[in-house]
Amino acid sequence: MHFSTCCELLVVITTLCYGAPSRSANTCGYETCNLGDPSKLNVHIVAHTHDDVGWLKTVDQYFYGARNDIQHAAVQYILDSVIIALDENPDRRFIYVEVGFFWRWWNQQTGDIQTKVQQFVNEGRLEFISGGWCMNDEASTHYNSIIDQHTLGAEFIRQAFGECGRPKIGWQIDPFGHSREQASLFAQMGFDGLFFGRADYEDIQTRNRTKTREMVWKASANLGEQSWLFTGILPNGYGAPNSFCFDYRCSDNPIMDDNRRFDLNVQERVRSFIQAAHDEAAGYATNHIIMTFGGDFQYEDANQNFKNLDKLIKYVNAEVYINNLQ
Amino acid sequence: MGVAQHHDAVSGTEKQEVAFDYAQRLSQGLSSGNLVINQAYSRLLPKAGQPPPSVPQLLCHLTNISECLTVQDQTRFTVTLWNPTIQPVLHHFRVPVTRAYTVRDPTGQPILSELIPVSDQTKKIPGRTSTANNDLVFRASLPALGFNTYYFEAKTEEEPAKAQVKITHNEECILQNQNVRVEIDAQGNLGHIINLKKSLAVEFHNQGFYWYQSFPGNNSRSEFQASGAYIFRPVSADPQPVSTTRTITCIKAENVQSARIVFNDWASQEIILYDEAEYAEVEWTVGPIPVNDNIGKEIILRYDTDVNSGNKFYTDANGREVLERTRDYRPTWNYTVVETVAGNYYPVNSRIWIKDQDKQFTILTDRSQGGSSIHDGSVELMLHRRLLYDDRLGVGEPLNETAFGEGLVVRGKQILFLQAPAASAAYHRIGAQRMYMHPLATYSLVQQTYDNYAANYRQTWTALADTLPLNVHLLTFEHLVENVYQIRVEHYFEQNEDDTFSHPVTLDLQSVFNSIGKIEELVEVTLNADLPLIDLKRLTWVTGDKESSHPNAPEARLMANSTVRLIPMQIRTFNVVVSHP
Repeated sequence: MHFSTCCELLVVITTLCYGAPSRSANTCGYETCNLGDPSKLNVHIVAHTHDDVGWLKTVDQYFYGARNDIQHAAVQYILDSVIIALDENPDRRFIYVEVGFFWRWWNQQTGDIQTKVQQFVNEGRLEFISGGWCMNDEASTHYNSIIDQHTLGAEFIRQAFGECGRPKIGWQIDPFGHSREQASLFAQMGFDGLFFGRADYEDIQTRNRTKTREMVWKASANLGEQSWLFTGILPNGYGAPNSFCFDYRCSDNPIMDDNRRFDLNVQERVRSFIQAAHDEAAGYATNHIIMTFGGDFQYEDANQNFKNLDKLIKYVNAEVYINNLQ
Repeated sequence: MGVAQHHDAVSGTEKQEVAFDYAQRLSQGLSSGNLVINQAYSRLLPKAGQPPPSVPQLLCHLTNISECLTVQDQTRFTVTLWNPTIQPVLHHFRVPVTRAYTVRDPTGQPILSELIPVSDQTKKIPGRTSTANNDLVFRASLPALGFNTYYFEAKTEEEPAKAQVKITHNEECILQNQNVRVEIDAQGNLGHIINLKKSLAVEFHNQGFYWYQSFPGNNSRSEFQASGAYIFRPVSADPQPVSTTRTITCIKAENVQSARIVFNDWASQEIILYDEAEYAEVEWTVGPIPVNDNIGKEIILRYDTDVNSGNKFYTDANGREVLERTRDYRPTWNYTVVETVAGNYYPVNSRIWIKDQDKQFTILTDRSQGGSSIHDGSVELMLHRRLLYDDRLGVGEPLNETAFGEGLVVRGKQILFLQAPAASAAYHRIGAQRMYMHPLATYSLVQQTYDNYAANYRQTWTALADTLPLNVHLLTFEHLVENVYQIRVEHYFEQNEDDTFSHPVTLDLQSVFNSIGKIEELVEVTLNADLPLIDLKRLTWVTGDKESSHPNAPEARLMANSTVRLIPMQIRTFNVVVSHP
């Protein structure tokens, strides 16, 4: 590990403002994007939670957090805590995917909370991704149902949030295999990109070697350029880099940064992160990479995630500070 | 429907309790749908000045096992068939009954209806409570985007016509109509399907049910990976036939001919040929799969043909465009063959085919299944699985669903086409669309005599005044608010697959709205209907090869009139404002 690598790194937390952002602005969409520094590796952190609308528990059990003996998972608390965490720091960003859950939550909020959430959406601090009622399966679904379930979610978002809420990115991070038709349908929904979590291991090996984890997918043999879709395989499933899971479900260490205390780990954490970023960047063609921080039903105590992410971003970007440490 | 499309819902990777929860939600959805159906028919059925019907339109969900308790003993009832496609369709329909009926078509004419005995295989399906011993089969010629009502009145004396249905056991069975001939020998082996008009024949070396033994691993290492909800992993690449012998019952009536082939206690198929049909149907029934030998089993229906297909086969993606598959090959990386069977399985949502220069053998499915061609000329579909090991990928349960104290019994349908390759697209595109958008039957326990009923109610109706092109599908027709509607129209052929239908097509959307009003405003929106296309600005991506995703000039997106043009496989979505007359 070479410490010098830090100087080539710029970390920003982003919604899928792909192209990349950071400063808060009173606008949503690509206008808020921070285009980064062309001379550095730009790491675009995406904070997210993956909330199955049914799996080991029913969709309602997941929403309320019932039957936590089967699996600890409670979507209502996740959204509660993310909204508080976003409110605490305007630099924080979050994406949300499963409108089937969000709709349940939204209907139970006060007008004040709803107004606040609308503000976050208008400021690009909360972004809807994919925006279907669920993250649909790709192997067993019929196009009629895919279109209908995306239309249902999109209509809720449109009515509650208007144009700033409009999803622009497909987010199929957990389905077990990917269909060309799904990409074509996303392109016809006007999406600008699509991200996967899963792909065949040999496919991933080949793409790592050839730096083609991202591609432009020609998703229809019939529809020409309107069906082309920027598509990327996420760097580490959909999780954070190894040892950087700050979620309450994980046991990785927090960032410990008061040098009057024992167990100070900032320097080591920054170095590990820089290494992880370069490792993840190896399979991508450009100096802008996506990096997910999230997982199944994570962010139930969003403070834990964001407090450590805030510090990580600050220390990795603050070369001076790190050099002082050294 | 929204949550049911989730990747742990319809995919089958949820816990059993959660699968039951999805089933309950779907059931509630059906009930809500039934209310909408009744609202619609309360307006569509009454003739001018007549009140809405006093009896509701009911759904029968179990007619596929010849059970409709609502109507089975009634002296009179109606069956109303709604055709959701924008083309007229010919459909043979079955009503499970305990007695004989006179069936009148919408003009009041008694029509040919035949009592076909319910099979023993159907009668013993766990949970079936119907005492119906016959299905009454009749032919319905339905108008586009509309309905026909058929009026049933019980015959007073035992009707002698039943004798005209000819039944033989364990004899050769030739099913033949104007278009197709199906040859099955006395041992129940499917020998040939012949397309009589095109003089094409496909020969079957073998056809029937086989089972793969599920790998019983403990998942501790990849070589011990068990077959489970996420993973298909057979012990051997050589599936075994489910039986060495079969019995065959051959049934011949005017509307329908069929061969019921029983392989064993838990696997049977009925090969069906309706009058005038251009395809044969296979209705398969599998289960309860026995596992008392502690071996998980995965059941396929396989067709080994003389089609010289090499290592190629074709499957659809999500019911739309079709991709060529090559055995033991991936187009974008060097593929290492590890799983010789599972590695060649692909999703089949609506169709799979194999072909050579002269002929194409196409199977349409009524549901999503895994499918492949593991050997040249062979094509197989996975019908049912009963497994005893969890594959340790999350769900924590083996895939072993039971009902009524036994393993599940599953019944489904395949449609088989034999055509020249160049002619096949017209059959599989139209056939798959009609299978997916099949007519919806509702039943009503009317009290009136036929004459009274006919005086009060419309028995046929179509929303369309014009004939619409055969390559256009009405994908969505939704009433949003007041006088605003959402509509999707789709060209459902691909380029270059059919001489006639693979060309751009134009239609006037007003045709679809004739029964509602005049189109005043038409705004084209994105496929998920959340943005007018005129406001859509997609990012432009440039590939490493300097190809740009920037689209060519889009077509006019604010419409001057209601005529739209569709290119092959294009879907266009519109919000439509209508002035009611």
